[in-house]
Amino acid sequence: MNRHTLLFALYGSLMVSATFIHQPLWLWILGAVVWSSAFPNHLWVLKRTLTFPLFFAGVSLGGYAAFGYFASGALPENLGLIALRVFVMTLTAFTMAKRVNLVRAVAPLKGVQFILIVTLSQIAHFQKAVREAEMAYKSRCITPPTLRHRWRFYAGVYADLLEKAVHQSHMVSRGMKSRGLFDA
Amino acid sequence: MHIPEGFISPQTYLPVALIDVALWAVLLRNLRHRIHEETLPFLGVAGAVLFVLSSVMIPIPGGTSIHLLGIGILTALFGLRITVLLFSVVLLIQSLIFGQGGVSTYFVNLFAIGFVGPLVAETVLIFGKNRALLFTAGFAGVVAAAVVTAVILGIQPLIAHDASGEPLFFPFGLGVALPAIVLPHLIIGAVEGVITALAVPRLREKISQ
Repeated sequence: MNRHTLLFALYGSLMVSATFIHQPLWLWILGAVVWSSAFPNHLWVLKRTLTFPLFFAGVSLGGYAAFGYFASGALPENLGLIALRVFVMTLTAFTMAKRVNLVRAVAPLKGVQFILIVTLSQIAHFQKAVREAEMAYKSRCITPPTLRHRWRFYAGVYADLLEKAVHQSHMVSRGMKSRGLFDA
Repeated sequence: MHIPEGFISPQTYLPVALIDVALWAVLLRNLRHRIHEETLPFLGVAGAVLFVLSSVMIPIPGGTSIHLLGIGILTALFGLRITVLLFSVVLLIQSLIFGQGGVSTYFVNLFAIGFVGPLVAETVLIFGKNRALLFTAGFAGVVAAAVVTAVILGIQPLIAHDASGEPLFFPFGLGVALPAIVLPHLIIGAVEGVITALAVPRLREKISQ
Protein backbone atom coordinates (compact mmCIF):
# COMPACT_ATOMS: atom_id res chain seq x y z
CA MET A 1 0.00 0.00 0.00
CA ASN A 2 1.56 3.31 -1.06
CA ARG A 3 1.62 6.69 0.73
CA HIS A 4 -1.27 8.13 -1.29
CA THR A 5 -3.54 5.20 -0.49
CA LEU A 6 -2.80 5.70 3.21
CA LEU A 7 -3.39 9.48 3.02
CA PHE A 8 -6.62 8.83 1.12
CA ALA A 9 -7.77 6.50 3.91
CA LEU A 10 -6.67 9.00 6.59
CA TYR A 11 -8.55 11.97 5.11
CA GLY A 12 -11.57 9.75 4.46
CA SER A 13 -11.64 8.70 8.12
CA LEU A 14 -11.28 12.36 9.20
CA MET A 15 -14.36 13.21 7.15
CA VAL A 16 -16.30 10.36 8.70
CA SER A 17 -15.18 11.59 12.15
CA ALA A 18 -16.45 15.10 11.40
CA THR A 19 -19.98 13.77 10.99
CA PHE A 20 -19.86 12.30 14.51
CA ILE A 21 -18.77 15.57 16.15
CA HIS A 22 -21.56 17.84 17.38
CA GLN A 23 -19.50 20.31 19.47
CA PRO A 24 -18.38 23.44 17.57
CA LEU A 25 -15.07 23.65 19.47
CA TRP A 26 -13.96 20.18 18.33
CA LEU A 27 -15.02 20.93 14.77
CA TRP A 28 -12.92 24.12 14.83
CA ILE A 29 -9.93 22.11 16.13
CA LEU A 30 -10.38 19.47 13.43
CA GLY A 31 -10.64 22.21 10.79
CA ALA A 32 -7.47 23.90 12.08
CA VAL A 33 -5.52 20.61 12.06
CA VAL A 34 -6.66 19.78 8.52
CA TRP A 35 -5.97 23.29 7.26
CA SER A 36 -2.46 23.28 8.73
CA SER A 37 -1.79 20.02 6.88
CA ALA A 38 -2.66 21.75 3.60
CA PHE A 39 0.46 23.97 3.78
CA PRO A 40 1.85 25.33 1.38
CA ASN A 41 -1.47 25.20 -0.50
CA HIS A 42 -3.54 26.43 2.46
CA LEU A 43 -4.67 29.66 0.74
CA TRP A 44 -5.78 27.82 -2.39
CA VAL A 45 -7.69 25.30 -0.23
CA LEU A 46 -9.40 28.08 1.75
CA LYS A 47 -10.34 29.97 -1.40
CA ARG A 48 -11.85 26.87 -3.03
CA THR A 49 -13.71 26.03 0.18
CA LEU A 50 -15.20 29.48 0.48
CA THR A 51 -16.37 29.77 -3.12
CA PHE A 52 -17.99 27.12 -5.27
CA PRO A 53 -19.14 24.32 -2.89
CA LEU A 54 -20.15 26.59 -0.02
CA PHE A 55 -22.29 28.59 -2.41
CA PHE A 56 -24.54 25.55 -2.89
CA ALA A 57 -24.53 24.72 0.82
CA GLY A 58 -25.14 28.41 1.57
CA VAL A 59 -28.26 28.49 -0.58
CA SER A 60 -29.68 25.51 1.31
CA LEU A 61 -28.70 26.78 4.76
CA GLY A 62 -29.85 30.33 3.91
CA GLY A 63 -33.23 28.90 2.94
CA TYR A 64 -33.34 27.04 6.24
CA ALA A 65 -32.48 30.23 8.17
CA ALA A 66 -35.24 32.18 6.38
CA PHE A 67 -37.70 29.31 6.87
CA GLY A 68 -36.93 29.12 10.61
CA TYR A 69 -37.04 32.89 11.05
CA PHE A 70 -40.46 33.26 9.44
CA ALA A 71 -41.84 30.21 11.25
CA SER A 72 -40.67 31.04 14.78
CA GLY A 73 -39.20 34.55 14.68
CA ALA A 74 -35.72 33.22 15.54
CA LEU A 75 -32.85 31.58 13.70
CA PRO A 76 -32.77 27.75 13.96
CA GLU A 77 -30.63 26.54 16.87
CA ASN A 78 -28.16 24.29 15.04
CA LEU A 79 -27.68 26.46 11.96
CA GLY A 80 -24.15 27.49 13.01
CA LEU A 81 -23.18 23.90 13.79
CA ILE A 82 -24.45 22.61 10.42
CA ALA A 83 -22.67 25.43 8.55
CA LEU A 84 -19.43 24.81 10.48
CA ARG A 85 -19.54 21.08 9.75
CA VAL A 86 -20.13 21.68 6.05
CA PHE A 87 -17.19 24.13 6.05
CA VAL A 88 -14.78 21.75 7.85
CA MET A 89 -15.73 18.79 5.65
CA THR A 90 -15.39 20.80 2.45
CA LEU A 91 -12.02 22.08 3.69
CA THR A 92 -10.92 18.49 4.35
CA ALA A 93 -12.09 17.38 0.90
CA PHE A 94 -10.09 20.10 -0.88
CA THR A 95 -7.03 19.46 1.32
CA MET A 96 -7.28 15.83 0.30
CA ALA A 97 -7.65 16.83 -3.35
CA LYS A 98 -4.41 18.82 -3.08
CA ARG A 99 -2.36 16.34 -1.05
CA VAL A 100 -3.49 13.00 -2.43
CA ASN A 101 -2.74 11.77 -5.94
CA LEU A 102 -6.01 10.03 -6.70
CA VAL A 103 -4.57 7.84 -9.46
CA ARG A 104 -1.90 6.50 -7.09
CA ALA A 105 -4.39 6.20 -4.25
CA VAL A 106 -6.54 3.75 -6.21
CA ALA A 107 -3.49 1.77 -7.40
CA PRO A 108 -4.62 -1.43 -5.59
CA LEU A 109 -7.67 -1.47 -7.93
CA LYS A 110 -6.02 -1.80 -11.35
CA GLY A 111 -9.19 -1.72 -13.49
CA VAL A 112 -10.50 1.40 -11.72
CA GLN A 113 -7.08 3.03 -11.99
CA PHE A 114 -6.98 2.40 -15.75
CA ILE A 115 -10.41 3.94 -16.38
CA LEU A 116 -9.57 6.83 -14.04
CA ILE A 117 -6.39 7.66 -15.98
CA VAL A 118 -8.18 7.63 -19.35
CA THR A 119 -11.13 9.62 -17.97
CA LEU A 120 -8.92 12.29 -16.36
CA SER A 121 -6.82 12.60 -19.49
CA GLN A 122 -9.89 13.15 -21.68
CA ILE A 123 -11.87 15.53 -19.44
CA ALA A 124 -9.73 18.57 -20.31
CA HIS A 125 -10.03 17.73 -24.02
CA PHE A 126 -13.84 17.65 -23.92
CA GLN A 127 -14.10 20.69 -21.64
CA LYS A 128 -12.00 22.62 -24.15
CA ALA A 129 -14.30 21.49 -26.98
CA VAL A 130 -17.39 22.73 -25.08
CA ARG A 131 -15.75 26.06 -24.17
CA GLU A 132 -14.72 26.69 -27.77
CA ALA A 133 -18.20 25.82 -29.05
CA GLU A 134 -19.76 28.24 -26.54
CA MET A 135 -17.34 31.02 -27.49
CA ALA A 136 -18.00 30.47 -31.18
CA TYR A 137 -21.74 30.56 -30.54
CA LYS A 138 -21.50 33.82 -28.57
CA SER A 139 -19.41 35.41 -31.26
CA ARG A 140 -22.11 34.64 -33.83
CA CYS A 141 -24.94 36.16 -31.75
CA ILE A 142 -25.16 39.96 -31.87
CA THR A 143 -28.35 40.00 -29.79
CA PRO A 144 -29.06 37.53 -26.94
CA PRO A 145 -30.31 34.26 -28.49
CA THR A 146 -33.76 32.91 -27.76
CA LEU A 147 -34.20 29.88 -25.50
CA ARG A 148 -35.14 27.78 -28.55
CA HIS A 149 -31.90 28.69 -30.32
CA ARG A 150 -29.84 27.95 -27.23
CA TRP A 151 -31.46 24.52 -26.91
CA ARG A 152 -30.67 23.76 -30.54
CA PHE A 153 -27.11 24.86 -29.95
CA TYR A 154 -26.70 22.59 -26.90
CA ALA A 155 -28.28 19.68 -28.80
CA GLY A 156 -25.59 20.17 -31.45
CA VAL A 157 -22.85 20.33 -28.82
CA TYR A 158 -24.04 17.08 -27.21
CA ALA A 159 -24.24 15.25 -30.53
CA ASP A 160 -20.76 16.49 -31.40
CA LEU A 161 -19.35 15.44 -28.01
CA LEU A 162 -20.80 11.94 -28.27
CA GLU A 163 -19.39 11.47 -31.77
CA LYS A 164 -16.02 12.81 -30.65
CA ALA A 165 -16.09 10.33 -27.76
CA VAL A 166 -16.46 7.35 -30.08
CA HIS A 167 -13.70 8.64 -32.37
CA GLN A 168 -11.40 9.52 -29.46
CA SER A 169 -11.81 6.11 -27.86
CA HIS A 170 -10.70 4.41 -31.09
CA MET A 171 -7.63 6.68 -31.14
CA VAL A 172 -6.79 5.96 -27.47
CA SER A 173 -7.31 2.26 -28.02
CA ARG A 174 -5.01 2.19 -31.08
CA GLY A 175 -2.40 4.27 -29.27
CA MET A 176 -2.38 1.89 -26.33
CA LYS A 177 -2.31 -1.19 -28.54
CA SER A 178 0.64 0.16 -30.54
CA ARG A 179 2.54 0.61 -27.27
CA GLY A 180 1.86 -3.00 -26.32
CA LEU A 181 -0.37 -2.22 -23.36
CA PHE A 182 -2.70 -5.12 -24.06
CA ASP A 183 0.03 -7.65 -24.81
CA ALA A 184 0.77 -8.65 -21.22
CA MET B 1 -28.68 16.26 -7.93
CA HIS B 2 -25.40 15.72 -6.08
CA ILE B 3 -25.77 15.99 -2.31
CA PRO B 4 -23.03 18.29 -0.97
CA GLU B 5 -20.59 17.47 1.80
CA GLY B 6 -21.89 17.44 5.38
CA PHE B 7 -25.62 17.15 4.67
CA ILE B 8 -26.01 13.44 5.43
CA SER B 9 -25.78 11.82 8.86
CA PRO B 10 -23.56 8.79 9.56
CA GLN B 11 -26.73 6.88 10.53
CA THR B 12 -27.61 7.18 6.84
CA TYR B 13 -24.39 7.07 4.83
CA LEU B 14 -22.76 4.18 6.68
CA PRO B 15 -25.61 1.69 6.01
CA VAL B 16 -25.90 3.01 2.43
CA ALA B 17 -22.13 2.46 2.01
CA LEU B 18 -22.56 -1.15 3.10
CA ILE B 19 -25.40 -1.60 0.59
CA ASP B 20 -23.22 -0.05 -2.15
CA VAL B 21 -20.30 -2.33 -1.37
CA ALA B 22 -22.63 -5.36 -1.48
CA LEU B 23 -24.05 -4.18 -4.82
CA TRP B 24 -20.52 -3.63 -6.17
CA ALA B 25 -19.59 -7.15 -5.12
CA VAL B 26 -22.60 -8.60 -6.94
CA LEU B 27 -22.60 -6.41 -10.07
CA LEU B 28 -18.87 -6.02 -10.72
CA ARG B 29 -17.89 -9.64 -10.01
CA ASN B 30 -15.93 -11.12 -12.93
CA LEU B 31 -16.58 -7.94 -14.92
CA ARG B 32 -12.90 -7.61 -15.85
CA HIS B 33 -12.96 -10.91 -17.71
CA ARG B 34 -16.08 -9.89 -19.61
CA ILE B 35 -14.74 -6.54 -20.86
CA HIS B 36 -12.87 -6.71 -24.14
CA GLU B 37 -9.46 -5.02 -23.99
CA GLU B 38 -10.48 -2.37 -26.53
CA THR B 39 -13.63 -1.59 -24.58
CA LEU B 40 -11.64 -0.26 -21.62
CA PRO B 41 -10.41 2.91 -23.40
CA PHE B 42 -13.95 3.52 -24.61
CA LEU B 43 -15.20 3.30 -21.03
CA GLY B 44 -12.62 5.85 -19.94
CA VAL B 45 -13.63 8.25 -22.72
CA ALA B 46 -17.31 7.65 -21.98
CA GLY B 47 -16.58 8.55 -18.36
CA ALA B 48 -15.01 11.82 -19.50
CA VAL B 49 -17.99 12.65 -21.72
CA LEU B 50 -20.34 11.78 -18.88
CA PHE B 51 -18.41 14.16 -16.65
CA VAL B 52 -18.47 16.99 -19.20
CA LEU B 53 -22.16 16.43 -20.06
CA SER B 54 -23.09 16.70 -16.40
CA SER B 55 -21.09 19.91 -16.00
CA VAL B 56 -22.72 21.73 -18.95
CA MET B 57 -25.68 23.73 -17.69
CA ILE B 58 -28.71 23.96 -19.98
CA PRO B 59 -30.92 27.03 -19.46
CA ILE B 60 -34.62 26.54 -18.62
CA PRO B 61 -37.38 29.19 -18.39
CA GLY B 62 -37.19 31.26 -15.22
CA GLY B 63 -33.50 32.07 -15.37
CA THR B 64 -32.24 28.88 -13.79
CA SER B 65 -30.45 25.96 -15.45
CA ILE B 66 -30.20 22.19 -15.29
CA HIS B 67 -27.60 19.58 -16.17
CA LEU B 68 -27.85 16.10 -17.63
CA LEU B 69 -26.78 12.86 -15.95
CA GLY B 70 -26.47 10.41 -18.85
CA ILE B 71 -28.15 7.53 -17.00
CA GLY B 72 -30.37 6.44 -19.91
CA ILE B 73 -27.72 6.71 -22.62
CA LEU B 74 -25.09 4.74 -20.71
CA THR B 75 -27.49 2.03 -19.57
CA ALA B 76 -28.86 1.56 -23.08
CA LEU B 77 -25.38 1.41 -24.62
CA PHE B 78 -23.42 -0.58 -22.03
CA GLY B 79 -25.91 -2.24 -19.71
CA LEU B 80 -26.26 -1.98 -15.95
CA ARG B 81 -22.92 -3.36 -14.78
CA ILE B 82 -20.67 -1.11 -16.85
CA THR B 83 -22.86 1.92 -16.12
CA VAL B 84 -22.43 1.28 -12.39
CA LEU B 85 -18.64 1.09 -12.88
CA LEU B 86 -18.62 4.34 -14.88
CA PHE B 87 -20.70 6.26 -12.35
CA SER B 88 -18.51 4.92 -9.53
CA VAL B 89 -15.45 6.46 -11.20
CA VAL B 90 -17.08 9.70 -12.39
CA LEU B 91 -18.70 10.48 -9.02
CA LEU B 92 -15.35 9.85 -7.36
CA ILE B 93 -13.63 12.33 -9.68
CA GLN B 94 -16.42 14.87 -9.22
CA SER B 95 -16.28 14.71 -5.44
CA LEU B 96 -12.52 14.52 -4.96
CA ILE B 97 -11.19 16.79 -7.67
CA PHE B 98 -13.97 19.18 -8.63
CA GLY B 99 -15.90 19.53 -5.35
CA GLN B 100 -19.23 18.37 -6.80
CA GLY B 101 -20.95 16.14 -4.26
CA GLY B 102 -18.81 15.04 -1.36
CA VAL B 103 -16.70 12.28 0.14
CA SER B 104 -19.10 11.47 2.97
CA THR B 105 -22.03 11.72 0.56
CA TYR B 106 -20.27 9.72 -2.20
CA PHE B 107 -21.99 6.46 -1.35
CA VAL B 108 -25.41 8.11 -1.10
CA ASN B 109 -24.94 9.88 -4.44
CA LEU B 110 -23.67 6.65 -5.95
CA PHE B 111 -26.65 4.73 -4.62
CA ALA B 112 -29.15 7.20 -6.13
CA ILE B 113 -27.40 8.12 -9.40
CA GLY B 114 -25.19 5.09 -9.99
CA PHE B 115 -27.38 2.19 -8.82
CA VAL B 116 -31.08 3.11 -8.60
CA GLY B 117 -31.20 5.27 -11.76
CA PRO B 118 -29.49 2.71 -14.05
CA LEU B 119 -31.44 -0.15 -12.44
CA VAL B 120 -34.75 1.54 -13.25
CA ALA B 121 -33.55 2.37 -16.78
CA GLU B 122 -32.39 -1.22 -17.30
CA THR B 123 -35.75 -2.52 -16.07
CA VAL B 124 -37.53 -0.38 -18.68
CA LEU B 125 -35.14 -1.54 -21.40
CA ILE B 126 -35.96 -5.21 -20.71
CA PHE B 127 -39.14 -4.62 -22.74
CA GLY B 128 -37.23 -3.45 -25.81
CA LYS B 129 -35.09 -0.63 -27.15
CA ASN B 130 -37.39 1.31 -29.46
CA ARG B 131 -37.48 5.10 -29.25
CA ALA B 132 -40.46 5.24 -26.88
CA LEU B 133 -38.82 2.85 -24.44
CA LEU B 134 -35.48 4.65 -24.71
CA PHE B 135 -37.25 7.91 -23.82
CA THR B 136 -38.98 6.22 -20.88
CA ALA B 137 -35.69 4.71 -19.69
CA GLY B 138 -33.94 8.11 -19.78
CA PHE B 139 -36.86 9.83 -18.04
CA ALA B 140 -37.51 7.16 -15.41
CA GLY B 141 -33.80 6.76 -14.56
CA VAL B 142 -33.40 10.45 -13.73
CA VAL B 143 -36.68 10.77 -11.84
CA ALA B 144 -36.02 7.61 -9.79
CA ALA B 145 -32.56 8.91 -8.82
CA ALA B 146 -34.10 12.27 -7.86
CA VAL B 147 -36.80 10.64 -5.72
CA VAL B 148 -34.22 8.54 -3.84
CA THR B 149 -32.01 11.61 -3.29
CA ALA B 150 -34.98 13.63 -2.02
CA VAL B 151 -36.16 10.88 0.33
CA ILE B 152 -32.67 10.38 1.79
CA LEU B 153 -32.32 14.13 2.36
CA GLY B 154 -35.88 14.51 3.64
CA ILE B 155 -35.53 11.86 6.34
CA GLN B 156 -32.42 13.52 7.87
CA PRO B 157 -34.36 15.67 10.39
CA LEU B 158 -36.17 12.52 11.56
CA ILE B 159 -33.12 10.34 12.15
CA ALA B 160 -30.41 12.86 13.14
CA HIS B 161 -31.50 15.48 15.65
CA ASP B 162 -30.41 16.71 19.09
CA ALA B 163 -32.30 16.30 22.39
CA SER B 164 -34.55 19.27 21.61
CA GLY B 165 -35.48 17.83 18.22
CA GLU B 166 -33.42 20.33 16.17
CA PRO B 167 -31.87 18.73 13.04
CA LEU B 168 -28.08 18.17 13.08
CA PHE B 169 -27.67 17.63 9.34
CA PHE B 170 -29.86 18.50 6.33
CA PRO B 171 -32.60 20.57 7.97
CA PHE B 172 -35.65 20.22 5.68
CA GLY B 173 -38.18 17.40 5.91
CA LEU B 174 -39.79 15.38 3.12
CA GLY B 175 -42.48 18.02 2.56
CA VAL B 176 -39.84 20.48 1.35
CA ALA B 177 -37.16 18.16 -0.06
CA LEU B 178 -39.40 16.05 -2.32
CA PRO B 179 -40.99 18.86 -4.40
CA ALA B 180 -37.80 20.96 -4.40
CA ILE B 181 -35.72 18.15 -5.88
CA VAL B 182 -38.17 16.03 -7.87
CA LEU B 183 -40.06 18.77 -9.75
CA PRO B 184 -37.01 20.26 -11.57
CA HIS B 185 -35.86 16.73 -12.37
CA LEU B 186 -39.09 16.03 -14.22
CA ILE B 187 -37.83 18.57 -16.79
CA ILE B 188 -34.31 17.12 -16.73
CA GLY B 189 -35.79 13.63 -17.12
CA ALA B 190 -37.80 14.69 -20.17
CA VAL B 191 -34.72 16.30 -21.77
CA GLU B 192 -32.60 13.27 -20.98
CA GLY B 193 -35.33 11.00 -22.35
CA VAL B 194 -35.36 12.88 -25.68
CA ILE B 195 -31.55 12.83 -25.92
CA THR B 196 -31.48 9.10 -25.06
CA ALA B 197 -34.11 8.30 -27.71
CA LEU B 198 -32.29 10.31 -30.38
CA ALA B 199 -28.65 9.55 -29.54
CA VAL B 200 -28.63 5.84 -28.64
CA PRO B 201 -29.55 4.36 -32.07
CA ARG B 202 -26.97 6.56 -33.77
CA LEU B 203 -24.23 5.86 -31.23
CA ARG B 204 -24.91 2.13 -31.35
CA GLU B 205 -24.23 2.22 -35.08
CA LYS B 206 -21.01 4.16 -34.55
CA ILE B 207 -19.75 1.85 -31.82
CA SER B 208 -20.43 -1.27 -33.87
CA GLN B 209 -18.45 0.08 -36.85
